[in-house]
Amino acid sequence: MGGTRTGHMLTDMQVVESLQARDKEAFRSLVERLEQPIIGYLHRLVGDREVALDLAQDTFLQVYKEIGKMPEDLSLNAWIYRIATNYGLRYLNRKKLRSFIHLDASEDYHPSFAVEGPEGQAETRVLVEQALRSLKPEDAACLQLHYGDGFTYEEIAQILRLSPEAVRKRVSRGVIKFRASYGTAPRKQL
Amino acid sequence: MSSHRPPTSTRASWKANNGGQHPSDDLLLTYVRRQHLDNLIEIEQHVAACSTCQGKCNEFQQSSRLISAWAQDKGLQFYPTITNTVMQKIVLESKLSPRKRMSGRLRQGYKYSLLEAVVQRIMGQEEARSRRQATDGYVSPLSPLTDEPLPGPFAELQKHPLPGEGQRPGTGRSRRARFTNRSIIALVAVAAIITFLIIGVVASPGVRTSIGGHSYSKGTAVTIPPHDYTSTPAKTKTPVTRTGSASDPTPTDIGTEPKIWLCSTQGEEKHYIIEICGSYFTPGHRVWLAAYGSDNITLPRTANSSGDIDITLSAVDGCHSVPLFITVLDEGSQKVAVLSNITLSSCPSKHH
Repeated sequence: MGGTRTGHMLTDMQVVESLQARDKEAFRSLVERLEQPIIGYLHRLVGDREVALDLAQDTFLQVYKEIGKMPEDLSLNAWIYRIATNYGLRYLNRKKLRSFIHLDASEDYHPSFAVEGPEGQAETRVLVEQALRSLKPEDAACLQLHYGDGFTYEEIAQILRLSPEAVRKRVSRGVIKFRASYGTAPRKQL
Repeated sequence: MSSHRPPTSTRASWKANNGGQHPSDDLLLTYVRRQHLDNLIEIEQHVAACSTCQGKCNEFQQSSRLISAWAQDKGLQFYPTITNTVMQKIVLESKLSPRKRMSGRLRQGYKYSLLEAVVQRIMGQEEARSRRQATDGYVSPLSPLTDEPLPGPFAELQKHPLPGEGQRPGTGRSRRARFTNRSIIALVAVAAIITFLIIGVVASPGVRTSIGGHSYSKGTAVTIPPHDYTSTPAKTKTPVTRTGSASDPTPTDIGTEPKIWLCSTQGEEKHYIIEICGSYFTPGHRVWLAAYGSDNITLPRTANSSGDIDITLSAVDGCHSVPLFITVLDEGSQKVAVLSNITLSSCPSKHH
């Protein structure tokens, strides 16, 4: 993952220059290159495919609009992930508020949603997802970026504007909470 | 156990426990994940000699494996391309007046907000969204996506809930909770009306045409005037010939009779995503697609202004759950179109 990002370094600089000159073809190739990982990241973060697609569109529109404000010390990928994370966290916080006053139906995953698969993998997947949903959005974002997208703690620190120590603590807090939730999740009677 | 003192930067992360000093959990996880550590050698030596820390490391490894496997599994999913939609939005946005742009920003702030939830609740749309979220956004081949009465033979199907449907959380709330909700909804509705009045005064013409709040939605084509953007569309919505699918009509088979065809790409089919496109339906009319196979399901759709429909299904059990054939019925339960011999390129032809 890291290698891929480094490989795009020079191209990214050129892309930024092209985008600043409002080159639509350069932007199109950027979206084509990054849409799958960004949608995938948002899907894992927010847990809803449709919302992830919607937020990914907003992310790229924001990239196009705000490209002139991109921090110089940040790579283009990291900056796009930062925007996507902000959209994802905003959605999760709003969802939390809506759930708090019972405007959203509880969206806990239920083992009955599990699709039967070989060797109980489907149930494990559902339980892992359920446990990950119990994390704080900020911790979940760190976990998704690290485990899902392969970013190092230093890269996550850049994306989220945190210190590497803070990322270390968030990932650790997330994994410990995940472990506790996963360990206590009800298993289907086999 | 190591007797070395850790360097200053991580000294606070070593804590006294069980009569000795151990690295904290975050340091151990960082070590397990092979991330940068100032005092890697020291922690390595400590873990090699400390059974407590070895146990913790094993637990962290186990959890990490679970999360990584889940993330990898999710990473295999195929998502529809959004490039064209984004480009179209950019073109549209560049043509908007400042006032419409402002209303677009207001819509952006409104999206997924508390206010939106209230409005949706009032308009009765929340149920549909909750159902979609409960199925993780997929159009589930296990249940109809509507509560509205289905026509003819499907009314019977709708009466019998599918396994797990009756147990969905959030459906059995207490009377008191419902009363509280209604009170809150009434209060927020008043606030919503006032806000809408303000928005209406500031930017009423832009509210309807703003693209800021336009969201991707399955089955709803993004309606962009053709002269606005002329690049390649995301997916062909007219019948085309594709190799490997016996069900497609020929390119010359274009008339005025309603028809449906398989329009998923090879990439989508690889992930068992089945996209069904349809044309020549009466614009605005509701039709029901009945898919027959290992599961019999019905899915309602409303034809757009061009008379097109579009449905995406996910064959969750792979080739086994690919429908054998799909029939489209109108509101009078009359068969208006049929798609038979559905074969995905990723499935053997005799998968049923």
